[in-house]
Amino acid sequence: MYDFIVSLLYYTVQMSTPLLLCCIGGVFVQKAGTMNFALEAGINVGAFSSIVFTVISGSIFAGICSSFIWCLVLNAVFGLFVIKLKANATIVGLSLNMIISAIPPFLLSVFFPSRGFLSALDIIDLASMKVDVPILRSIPFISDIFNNQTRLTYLTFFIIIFLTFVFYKTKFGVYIQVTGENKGAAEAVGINTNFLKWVALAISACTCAMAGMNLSVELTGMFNLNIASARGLICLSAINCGKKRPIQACLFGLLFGFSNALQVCLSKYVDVNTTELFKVIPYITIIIVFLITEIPVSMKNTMRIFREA
Amino acid sequence: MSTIIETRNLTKKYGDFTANKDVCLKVEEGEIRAIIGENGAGKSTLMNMLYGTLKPTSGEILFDGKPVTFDSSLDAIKCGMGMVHQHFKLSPSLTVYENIILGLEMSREVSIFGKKVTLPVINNKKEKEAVRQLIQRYNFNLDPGAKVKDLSIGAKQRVEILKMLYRDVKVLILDEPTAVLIPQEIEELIEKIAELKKMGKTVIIITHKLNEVKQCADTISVMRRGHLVGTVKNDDSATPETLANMMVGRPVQLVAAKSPKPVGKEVVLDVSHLSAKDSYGKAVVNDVSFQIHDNEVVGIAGIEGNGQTELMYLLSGLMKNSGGSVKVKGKEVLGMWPDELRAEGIGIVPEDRYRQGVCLPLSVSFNLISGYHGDKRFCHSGLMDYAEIRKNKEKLVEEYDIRLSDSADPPVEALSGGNAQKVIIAREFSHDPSVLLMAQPTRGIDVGATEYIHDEIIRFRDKGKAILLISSELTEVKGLTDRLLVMYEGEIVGEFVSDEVSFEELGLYMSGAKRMKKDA
Amino acid sequence: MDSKKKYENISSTINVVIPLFLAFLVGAFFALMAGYNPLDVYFQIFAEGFGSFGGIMQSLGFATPLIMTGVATAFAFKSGIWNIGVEGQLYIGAMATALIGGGYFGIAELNLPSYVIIPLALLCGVFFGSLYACIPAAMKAYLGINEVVTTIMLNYAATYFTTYLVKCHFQGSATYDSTEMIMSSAVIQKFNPSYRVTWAIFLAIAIIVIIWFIQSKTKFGYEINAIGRQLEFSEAAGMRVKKKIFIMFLISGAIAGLAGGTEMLGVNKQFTPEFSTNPGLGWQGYYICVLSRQNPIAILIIAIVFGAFRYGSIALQSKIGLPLDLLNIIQGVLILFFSIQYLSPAFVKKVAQRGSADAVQTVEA
Repeated sequence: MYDFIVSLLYYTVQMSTPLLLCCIGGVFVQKAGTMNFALEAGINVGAFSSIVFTVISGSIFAGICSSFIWCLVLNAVFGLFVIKLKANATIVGLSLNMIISAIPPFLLSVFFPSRGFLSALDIIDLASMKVDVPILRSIPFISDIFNNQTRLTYLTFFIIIFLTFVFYKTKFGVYIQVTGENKGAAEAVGINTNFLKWVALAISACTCAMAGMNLSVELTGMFNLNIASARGLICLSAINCGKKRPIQACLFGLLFGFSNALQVCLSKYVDVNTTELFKVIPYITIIIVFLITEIPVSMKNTMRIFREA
Repeated sequence: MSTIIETRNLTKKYGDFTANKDVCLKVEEGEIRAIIGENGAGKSTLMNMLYGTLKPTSGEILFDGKPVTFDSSLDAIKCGMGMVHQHFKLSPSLTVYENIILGLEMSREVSIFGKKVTLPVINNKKEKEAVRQLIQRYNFNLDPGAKVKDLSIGAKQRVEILKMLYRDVKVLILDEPTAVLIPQEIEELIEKIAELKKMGKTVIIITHKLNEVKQCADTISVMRRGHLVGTVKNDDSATPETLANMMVGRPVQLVAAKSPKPVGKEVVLDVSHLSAKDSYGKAVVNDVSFQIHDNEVVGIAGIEGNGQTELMYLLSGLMKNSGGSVKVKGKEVLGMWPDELRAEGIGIVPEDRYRQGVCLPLSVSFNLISGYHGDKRFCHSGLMDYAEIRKNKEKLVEEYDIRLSDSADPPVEALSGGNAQKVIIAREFSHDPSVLLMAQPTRGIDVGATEYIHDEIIRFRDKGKAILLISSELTEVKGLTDRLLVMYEGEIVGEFVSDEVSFEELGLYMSGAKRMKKDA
Repeated sequence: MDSKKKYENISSTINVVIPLFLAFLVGAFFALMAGYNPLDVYFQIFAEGFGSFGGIMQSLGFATPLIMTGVATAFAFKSGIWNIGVEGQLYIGAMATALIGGGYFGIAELNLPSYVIIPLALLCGVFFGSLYACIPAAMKAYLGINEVVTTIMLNYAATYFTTYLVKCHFQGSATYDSTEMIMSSAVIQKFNPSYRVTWAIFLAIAIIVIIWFIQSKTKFGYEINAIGRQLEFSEAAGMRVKKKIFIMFLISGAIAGLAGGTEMLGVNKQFTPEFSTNPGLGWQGYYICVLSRQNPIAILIIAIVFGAFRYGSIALQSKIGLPLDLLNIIQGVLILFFSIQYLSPAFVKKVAQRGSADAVQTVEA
């Protein structure tokens, strides 16, 4: 039982990392008033380009750089359509997701041996991706959970603190909040709301790139077509459940990370076919969380008019 | 005194439509200038051009004698011009001082090795102190640390004014500043404006309320259909009647003539002990009871946000109640949905015309039956009779003088506000309900349509109907109704015979300073 | 012709042509990257899909489920509901139909005739499809929860759940993950065994006609029209928005379930977890819904074109090894560029008026 709990918590931390990264960046875009369904595409691009360029160049560093670049390009396209050309954000986001899910298999089947996945394991040494932190090592229990995680996991912790600080304590953060609440208020005092949205998209691109890298380079050393498996949308849900506030959104991110970990840990105890059933857990968790957060609100609601959450 | 703002032949066109035509306005430094006109006369267009949010098609603007071009409101502010919009531009979850300072945040400074370094971090303490001093200097009643969402409407307006004063503007433009205030708050605002004038500020007030203009303005400019038709000194020759004539271009009747027909005996609408809570559990409608007889118009006055909207929602089936009863001719109708209510003979003219009254992208014929679309006339066993719907449109357009634009059945968004409201009036009146619930029936529409609607209401009353009229235009509720109720914080705090009560008296009840004892 | 209408027509034509051109341009870029001549590829796809009687029959076969998923998505879309969950509802519906048609639960022993077993199986698909739509429907209608996220989540849940059911409970005699073959009495016949198209295409066309009728003639259609544009108004006009949204969602799910069912009984003849991947029939239904702007005739045409492209691409894949993903990229890009209005009617009017009076007259003639 102890082992189960420890490994459950260890995996929670591990599996929350990409979600938290994606959430904390996504909060800025979402708070600035743009529905960003392309988070999913962002994770995919981050994961795919980092592996592809690692394989091509033989250097992980090149893979990391390209991951950032391509995620920025992706969000630039999103921004071009949504901010500049005023297209419907949901349609743009969903079609970017579709395009991005079709490009990797196309490129893989044309240039690489297999359509379904691309491995960089001969360049990436997975064991070296995990870090042994001396301070953590000596603490019992804590070390089993937090030690030997990947670099980005530790980095995520600091990124969350940093970006939360930015959100509440800097001009940029306050302007983003105002833009989301009353765009007119921001514009009346000469704040360039479109510029803020672009910056928010850039932040979100970087965190998505990191989330993608975490999944591909750090955890598996390869890319496969299902690598994002709706994580972007899960993050979107987390952000909305957390009412577009950074810490609250991250807490929901952790919860969804936990449900992912639960699926992984439970799968060890059943035969291989039943694991398919457990794969449902993360998605059902979201549905349940939605119900738990929204039912009390709508119970209290005394209006009969249809209301969007 | 010198001229601070001057416009020369300022013109603004939207396609074929000319919103402003050759406007030549001169505002002197240190005066209080009122700009009046009907809705759609081009007041807002003119101000938005002055303020840089709209670009003029032709003409020029001079500020302090120098020609200027503003690309955005920021340029106007830098030049010394500030505007308080009718819809406040505030961020509700931020504090008063954060809203005032917004855009001019102060950074925190630290000294490292004797060198001053500016950090990209906001110095909240310093900001709060600066705003506190500002509030003191202008003697406003505000707490700098309060969250804007907790403030009253009057206080929000003060925040907006301070926001501009913080930017040290010379000219302050107020767009319909009294629209949402009670009589007492209006007094206070007018005093504040006079004080600002003493401090050397120039104030421009855009409004359509003539009484207030008379009280505070030095000079009055009148706009009609995009033209500046005249500027007069505010003296005895400028009476509300002459100003109204200038605004409309013909003599107008400011208040509709009441009908001599006496109030009937039968109770048509009987509301007793009606209560409702909002989503936060606050009682927004609290134990409201009143009756309306045939041949009677009952008005509800009150500052907006005191439960009138919710009362209307309750009566029109859009909100859940927490007790009480509503009877129409003895039949309980509380808890019914809007379609059932209409079937019971209740006509509803909702407060929010464009969100609840009409569906803008859909056609006039569609809107003229919505709510009654299940009626046997238009719908046979689930199938719509489009020929009948068209006939209905032709009949009502003729009867209620609804001016359609060029095409035969345009979407409602192509109509003016007055005509859109006439669509609603035609729809509800033509189904001959026994009770009519109306909220803000003339808000934001031109004088001609207002007169028309007022006459229709009186005519309808004389057919033996019971009418409930909720309006924030005091002259309207007082002028049209037989009896007047005042709502304050969800309760009925006063009941008057409309002709026997003064505006001052009503103001006291509306602000909660006085209330009548409730009968047990 | 009404001059205003004319400008609208010109601008809407341009607004369709530009995205098509751009999408094919992007597609050409990827084709070139893979070493194919894009013009050649496009020509061949078109020739395969429409060039012969056989090709057309195959294309119609591919189009049949797309018509249904397109209508399913568009019907909900009309009232402002983004039912992205057609994919999941289709999976659940297909599974249910495949189990009934496959003779599970002792149905095989009953020896039911075709005219009983086919409707029964399809009805099961319809029922479970709409049952699965109940979840997002109730969440949207009564709690106001954004349906895009919930439906996508439920799509994932549906694929994993059906996979689990196949693997653990209903594994047929095949060596791969699949249910038993559909009983011969439950098969929806093909026109000709060598082509994909089955009698189900008439079912699909019937659904289009029914939906068109509902939308344009009935009281329900009248209300949908308002609900899709202005929720608060519809509520104030007594349309009971929540109930209507719920019903719309269920109908959408029912059509999705039917699409899955007809695929099972007519084409696949057994449920396999991969029967609708890359990018999935439901997703293509969403594409068709957006491109058609929910016009029933447009849905039919675009679904057939999509079907032809699908068949043409599959044929080309086996012929010259062109990856099918190219088509998916082109479709995605097409929707992306379709989301922008390139020219407004007002702009066309301006340009037209600037031109000489002669030019305007020619256009009018």
